[in-house]
Amino acid sequence: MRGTELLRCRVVDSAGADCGPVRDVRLVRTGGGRFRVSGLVVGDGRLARLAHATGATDGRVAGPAPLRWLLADAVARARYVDASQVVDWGGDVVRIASRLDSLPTFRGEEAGQ
Amino acid sequence: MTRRYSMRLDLIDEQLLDLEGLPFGRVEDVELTFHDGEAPTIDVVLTGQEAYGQRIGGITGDLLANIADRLRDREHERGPVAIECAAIQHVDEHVHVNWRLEEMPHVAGLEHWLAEHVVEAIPGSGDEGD
Repeated sequence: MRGTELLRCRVVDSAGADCGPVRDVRLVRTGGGRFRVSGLVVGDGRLARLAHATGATDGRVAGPAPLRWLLADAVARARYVDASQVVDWGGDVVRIASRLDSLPTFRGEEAGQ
Repeated sequence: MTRRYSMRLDLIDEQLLDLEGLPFGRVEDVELTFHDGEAPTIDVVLTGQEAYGQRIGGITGDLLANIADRLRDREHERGPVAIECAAIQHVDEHVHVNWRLEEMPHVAGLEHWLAEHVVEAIPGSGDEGD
């Protein structure tokens, strides 16, 4: 499976609810130089695509302030799915073992690392 | 603290630089490898026109991928050009590979072919001292 195919998948929680598309794949570098998937970032809603594509959810958009204000909602709604929670990496749909409302926010999860 | 990378922002579409800092392509895609009971890994990054064609898909993508396949040096195996992640020195705003471009004849095949067959035949194309 290609990385860009995974970025086109939707994520479905344990109750069958749609969590939105995979917006990003978080990676860590392993000893052998490979990258291991540590988790997925999911998010839906207005301007989510722009927020994730520009890196606003990743804290990479310093300004201008009106843009940050516009994207704040999408940033706040982004959720993090740890790779251990994924039960099926699927072709079009990624299934996870937890419920959408129990997923941590992406910013909170990153801050805690 | 372990650095976390974003596949979308740190790898895909990022410029590849060789050991001397020469740009030679960009990361068009990555190949995920799945393991039983473990998180997937990325062992190779893909570059070149074939990987790009496969990524965008459709008629245009197929056309690009097929042209790239036709231009492929027959000494090298089929499929998009893959660079092992072990060869990636570090990732900042670019992806730095610890190989020199001349050590990667399968990379930037069209550019190699044009340099050898077209550019070298142009009078004055060599070094100033030649």
